[in-house]
Amino acid sequence: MLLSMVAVLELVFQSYFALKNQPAEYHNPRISIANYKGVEWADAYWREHFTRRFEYDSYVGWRGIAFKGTHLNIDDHGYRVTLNSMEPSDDIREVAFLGGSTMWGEGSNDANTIPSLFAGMVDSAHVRNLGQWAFTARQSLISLQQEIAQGYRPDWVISYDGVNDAPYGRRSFANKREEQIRIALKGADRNSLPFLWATKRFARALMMIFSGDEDKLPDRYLVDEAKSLECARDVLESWLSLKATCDAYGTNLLVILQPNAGVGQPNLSNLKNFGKGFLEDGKAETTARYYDQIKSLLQNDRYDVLLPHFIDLTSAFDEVPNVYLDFCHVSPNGNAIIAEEVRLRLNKMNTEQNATD
Amino acid sequence: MKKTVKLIGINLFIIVGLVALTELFLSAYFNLKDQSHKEGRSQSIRLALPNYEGEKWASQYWNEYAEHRLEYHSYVGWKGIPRNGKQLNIDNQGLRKTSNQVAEKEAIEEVAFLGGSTMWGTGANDEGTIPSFYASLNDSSYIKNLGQLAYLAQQGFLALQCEIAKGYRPDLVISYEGVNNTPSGRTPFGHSREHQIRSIMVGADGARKEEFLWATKRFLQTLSSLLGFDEKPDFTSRSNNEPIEAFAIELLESWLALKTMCDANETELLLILQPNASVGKPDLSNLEKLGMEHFRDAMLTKSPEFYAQVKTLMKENERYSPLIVHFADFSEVLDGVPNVYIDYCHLSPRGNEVIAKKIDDTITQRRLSRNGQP
Repeated sequence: MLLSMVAVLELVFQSYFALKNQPAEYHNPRISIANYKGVEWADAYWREHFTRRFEYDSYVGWRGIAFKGTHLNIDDHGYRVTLNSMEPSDDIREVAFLGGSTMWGEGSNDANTIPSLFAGMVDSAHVRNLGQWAFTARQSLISLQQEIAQGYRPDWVISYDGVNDAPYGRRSFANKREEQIRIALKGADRNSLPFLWATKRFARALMMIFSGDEDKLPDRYLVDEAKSLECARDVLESWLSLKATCDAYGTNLLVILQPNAGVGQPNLSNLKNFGKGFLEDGKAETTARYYDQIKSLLQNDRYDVLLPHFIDLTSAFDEVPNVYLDFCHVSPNGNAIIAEEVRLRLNKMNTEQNATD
Repeated sequence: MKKTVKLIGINLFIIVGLVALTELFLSAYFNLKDQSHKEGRSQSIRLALPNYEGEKWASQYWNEYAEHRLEYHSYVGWKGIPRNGKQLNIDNQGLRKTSNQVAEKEAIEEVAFLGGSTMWGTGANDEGTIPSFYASLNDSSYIKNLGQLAYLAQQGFLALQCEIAKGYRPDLVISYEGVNNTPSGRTPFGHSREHQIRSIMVGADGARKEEFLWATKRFLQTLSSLLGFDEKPDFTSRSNNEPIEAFAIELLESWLALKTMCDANETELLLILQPNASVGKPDLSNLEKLGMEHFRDAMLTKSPEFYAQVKTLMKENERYSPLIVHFADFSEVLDGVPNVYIDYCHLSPRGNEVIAKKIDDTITQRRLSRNGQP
């Protein structure tokens, strides 16, 4: 009888966790903001957005699962599809874009991600979007290193980082899901599935609630100076390793500090009805301080080699209305601004390079 | 009407109860089948080997080894959980303790050892690992053992890349690889636990559904496979379908990435192809007691061809030829040495001592020849 009850409970908990993780499309206020007024694909895009899935992948942590939609497509390697007018070949430049969900294109259909817009602006280039949801600069670096190991040889690498490396929601030098994966793997360190995993997970959740151990929002962004500095170093060290990798292959590199709602003079009037859900207390201040630390450390002897490759785009959206969808994701008009900035910078670097040659 | 509802309710409860009970029973079966029996038996057999005759620490070590646990870490996949033992210690960074002769601040040279369980020291107490023996030969060097159970060369590279990002600046890096990179139950460019972790994380990506009734499904898959309705599970057949060359390229690409990083940090690098029971002329007489099942592993059958591919590619492919100056082939270093192997690749301290001495000699010779001395 007791055994049956434990078994039934395990089954009930399994069902609960299965249902709990269902798509959250029913709670997506972003669809109603001014950014998408008159945009026909928006509704269908967001529906597809919430059916996309990830799976664990060695080293990088996770990757998209192949998906075919009308506005959102993920290829067999787990990458967001970029609309290219040219096939890859030795005669044209190969450009790789790295980053998190902002580069992946959360909020945009395939045609309007930064890489797709960039591909539409330049002749003779083939573009790949290696961005993945929540990727830190280190995950992007590893992703590129893995692709290079498998034969990929980009001429240009553009790394667009900042927000996911911020000092909240993760330990420094770790990805954003380390704690989640660690908990899920507890007891399975010797090649087996954890016994009664659902019961254990439920018990842990219960303990967290009663011990008040949950990551409470108001405290979440109270990050001390030392951790903030470590996270700033984390992103710069990732960029340094990226530079070493690019140097070894004669690849040109651009590293970008991305804009977000906590820096510059963003116009957030379109988000005013959302309340604190998108701009929690302390997040903007913590991000701004961490960005200042990145820029200050860049002057340091160890990191100043990055300066010729660096662009600060933190003010790229200053005063531009209807760009942000939340703290960092933007609608296609924002992506177009970034793609144009990248194009201008690459042109400038090419001109300088030609003059030197 | 009430009676009918009650009857349906009871029947539903019984059906759900039976399904749940089957799931519980099967999940217990699959967990227990893979774990304690195999590990416990393997440990007691290894303890009885002549390698450990008269070694008072051995019994305590194997007990502590059985308690050693791993936890998930970003990028590398896993690291040891800190523990204090008498024979086996893991520090707060998840690294195996090395018996250094000098404090880190006073050391003239910092040396990082990378590798899998053979470098970590499966089969040896803290004093008997390769890094500890190397430290005993170099009293002004501070040694860090970054080896972890089942690590591939790529994980060693990533572990070092993360340590460098945190401020670690080794003068010399020694990468000791070969066995874990051999094709066996994984796809190239993925680590040995990718399939396991992927299965566990199904449904926990923030959106995807949990795998419902996984044990029942697995049982049905096994049944279907046994009855011949199905092909072998994808996981086990994966590495068999991939050409061995792909795995050799994977190892060499990891070494190339490591070289790029070492060059950028002006760090000396030594890349070692490690010995194992299927290459060279090892003395395996001590393992007769173990029976042949320990040698039927796919790694052993594929290892000679895999090693040959690695060496051929390095020699003939110009992409990998820059590795040659850093490379040392240790696959025959243990030829004819008795009582060193405790299974297909792990060594007791006596074997680790031979390897450490050989590493020390190799580095000394290379430094002398670089400085123009014979």
